[in-house]
Amino acid sequence: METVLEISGLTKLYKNGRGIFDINLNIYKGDVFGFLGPNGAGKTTAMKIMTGLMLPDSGDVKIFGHSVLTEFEKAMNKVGCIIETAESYPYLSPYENLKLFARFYDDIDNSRIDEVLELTGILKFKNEKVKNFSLGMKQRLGIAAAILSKPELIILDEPLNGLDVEGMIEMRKLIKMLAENERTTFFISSHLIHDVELTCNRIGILYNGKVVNVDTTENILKNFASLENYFVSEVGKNGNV
Amino acid sequence: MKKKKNLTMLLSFCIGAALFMSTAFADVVSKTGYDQLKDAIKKTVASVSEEYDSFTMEMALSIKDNDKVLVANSEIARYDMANSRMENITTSELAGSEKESFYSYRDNWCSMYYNSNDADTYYVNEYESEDKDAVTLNNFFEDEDAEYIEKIFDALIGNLKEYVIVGENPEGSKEFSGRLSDGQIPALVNAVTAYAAKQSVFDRTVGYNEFDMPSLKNDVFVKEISGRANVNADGIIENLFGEFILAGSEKDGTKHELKVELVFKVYNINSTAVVKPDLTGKKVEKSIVHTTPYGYVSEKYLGKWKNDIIIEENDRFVKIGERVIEITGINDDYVYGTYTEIYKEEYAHYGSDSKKYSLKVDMYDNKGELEVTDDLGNVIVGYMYLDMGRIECYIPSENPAEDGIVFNSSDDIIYNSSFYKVFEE
Amino acid sequence: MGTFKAAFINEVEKIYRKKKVVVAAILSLLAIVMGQLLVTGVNKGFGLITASSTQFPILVLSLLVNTILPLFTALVAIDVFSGEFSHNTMKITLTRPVSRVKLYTAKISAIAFFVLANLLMVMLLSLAVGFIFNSVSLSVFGILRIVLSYIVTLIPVMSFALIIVFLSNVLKSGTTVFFLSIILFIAFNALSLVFPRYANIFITSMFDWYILWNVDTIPLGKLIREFFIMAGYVIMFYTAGYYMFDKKDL
Repeated sequence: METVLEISGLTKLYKNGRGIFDINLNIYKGDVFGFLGPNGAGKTTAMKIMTGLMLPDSGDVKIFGHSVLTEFEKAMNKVGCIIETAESYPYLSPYENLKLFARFYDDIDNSRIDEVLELTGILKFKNEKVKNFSLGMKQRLGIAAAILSKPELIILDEPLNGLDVEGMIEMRKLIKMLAENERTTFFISSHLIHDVELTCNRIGILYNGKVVNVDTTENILKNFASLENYFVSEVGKNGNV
Repeated sequence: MKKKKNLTMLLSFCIGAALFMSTAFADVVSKTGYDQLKDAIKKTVASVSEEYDSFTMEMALSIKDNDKVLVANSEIARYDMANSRMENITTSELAGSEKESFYSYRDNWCSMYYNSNDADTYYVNEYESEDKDAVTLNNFFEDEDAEYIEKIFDALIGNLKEYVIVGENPEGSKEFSGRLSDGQIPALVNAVTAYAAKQSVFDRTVGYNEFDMPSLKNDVFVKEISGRANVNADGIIENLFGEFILAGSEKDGTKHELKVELVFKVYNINSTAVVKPDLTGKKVEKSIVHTTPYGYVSEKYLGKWKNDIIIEENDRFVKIGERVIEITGINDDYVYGTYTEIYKEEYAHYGSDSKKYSLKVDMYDNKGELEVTDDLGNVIVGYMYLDMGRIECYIPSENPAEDGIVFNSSDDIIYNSSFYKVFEE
Repeated sequence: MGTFKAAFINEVEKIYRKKKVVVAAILSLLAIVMGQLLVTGVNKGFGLITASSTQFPILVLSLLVNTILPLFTALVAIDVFSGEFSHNTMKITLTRPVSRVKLYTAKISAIAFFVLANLLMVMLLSLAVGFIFNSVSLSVFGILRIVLSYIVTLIPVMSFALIIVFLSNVLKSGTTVFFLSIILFIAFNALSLVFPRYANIFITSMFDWYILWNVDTIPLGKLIREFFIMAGYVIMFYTAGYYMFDKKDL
């Protein structure tokens, strides 16, 4: 199995004592990895380090064998991501936003931009200024930006934020589609247990800054009635819920 | 890897800092041509005013209008500081009038004056007492404000300093030169200079007509400023030449270029001799100048001085008393006296709070400053001038208008600061 | 180099799309109009020529360089850094495959691009205006002098811009940085007035170093010294700014 993402000994402490401690994780090609944990567990911190927004105190993250600390451009070349919130330049249209991002990659032409806008369902708004968009539409644009370069790894931090039920279903469909058709690897964080159960095929639980357990969804559902029971059991071993 | 990056950054920062520090230091230490010229000017002024025993200075100024000479003025001044003698020969030529020359001589005891157009008469002033300051030159760079003015000037001209080019000769002498043509003169400098010239010359009708000064009314601008100077190895300006061209047109459209040229030379340093002219056989008009060590103040001011205290009553001025100053003593530095007010009996109530003062006037350091002390020992400061036959004395507390404007109140005493001598007849 | 170019084009496009340029263009036009009014007013009112057609662009430059240009530069520099940090849009580019050093350099290059563009635009306009209103002959040499003056002004302005860039990477609030920049600008000017001997240490006094380039015999020593002082400023603040930008956690 080809390792896509390799996190080793990742540690980042904040002044208030929170943070992440010695995280080790391997994500393999074809994984739709669910990074599950309550709010404040350190999911976003870990993901910010993975995408170069933050520097770790120690440890390293390698994507496709390249360290994000020393070979950032190579590491990020086949990565698409949304971290914390899907941001875009409000004074530009979705099309113009994507046009800016496209410049960082080879072979992303205008038809690809239309394609991702179509996939995320905002093609008809492509020339409107983003500042008038709802949170859900901005989230869709964020997804479009993340998948624009046909990345082999997509890192999504709470991708369902701000989406309505219909949007959530479409989003899940999109992830499934990309995972199946393009063999895209996903790293998705969420605090929504049910959502992770439906979308992901491997699940890691982050609790109080530490990775508690990693297993496939299949294995978990063999032993537990639902992911929720598994979560409660695993967290229970490591303290109280 | 991270260490290496930090090291690179540190190194880069240090290179930047080193580059900055070393050049900034070099820049602060380095003297531009302008600074060197300024030093030379200061040194020259200081040397002629304080150091040298004797020297000759030459100055010339000319104004040309489209190459026609309007004014040509030249002056040779010989100073013999060791013997306190100086003489000055001035030649002046105005377009349309005869060339004139003036000669003057000065030492501690006499001055002489001679005008070539004035029937060969020598005017001689002989001084009763020695005037030790007769032959001196002031170093204006030692003025209180000189440094301040210099700073502002330096800041204003900014990078224009770089237009002064300096060339050094092997034996230590220097040549300065500089030229600003119209495109290089900053608009502000141009405007201010041209405006000043226009205000002080062209917009005035009086005084300049006699030598055909054209009246430039339109499109006035500074066309060129240039100059050069030679400084000897001792740092003294031997000669300086400056040129200033102002262009513009008259009301009828006639174009003019006014060229002002200035020449300054210093030579014969410590080898200039000034000899008092021998006037035997010449036509001489002599007058004696009476001098006292401290100007006009002498014992003739001793005694009583007074003026009238006046009020306005029923649309008439009424005298209600007298102010009296008695000068009681005069010495080298101070004049002493008293001040009293005497009221007529029927108006005595006006004088109910009148005070007696003792007066002390500083005649030397702060000329005219008056120290007024009342009976209780309170001191206030006023002024007093000893004029010819008259004393001006101002005591602030005696002037009712000082507290505000109270002209119309009929009860008020009208203030008067002039006092006249009381003669015993 | 491909990613740097992409980042640079993106930064330029972002600034261009933010209306700042329009504002700058209007302000610069204002400078020219003010300059022309001044020149015409003085000529009509006092009968003085303050600026011929070759001087007019220089007059405008001297006005521009001490007023609108530093202001505009500060606005753009703050927007490119503080603005993106506070609007949370910095991470959009930071999560793309472009290293921070390239992004940082691209942003600064974009600032320089706009400063230069502003200078050149004002130059062309003032040349045109000077040509139309102040009809005195315009020599090729005179025009070259003007072009040179405008272009070399980029260097001191960018030295100052890098100080602002450093500040906007240290302080959170763009407004604080803006006022600090103005205070700094005034303080530098005041200090060079009080200590004229040390004026060149304060970068703002070199805003008019274009004058050096116009002397008949160019004072090479002085020119090189001023250049090195500015280079020192640039290297120091570029590095310090990068250090802050690089270690910033978003």
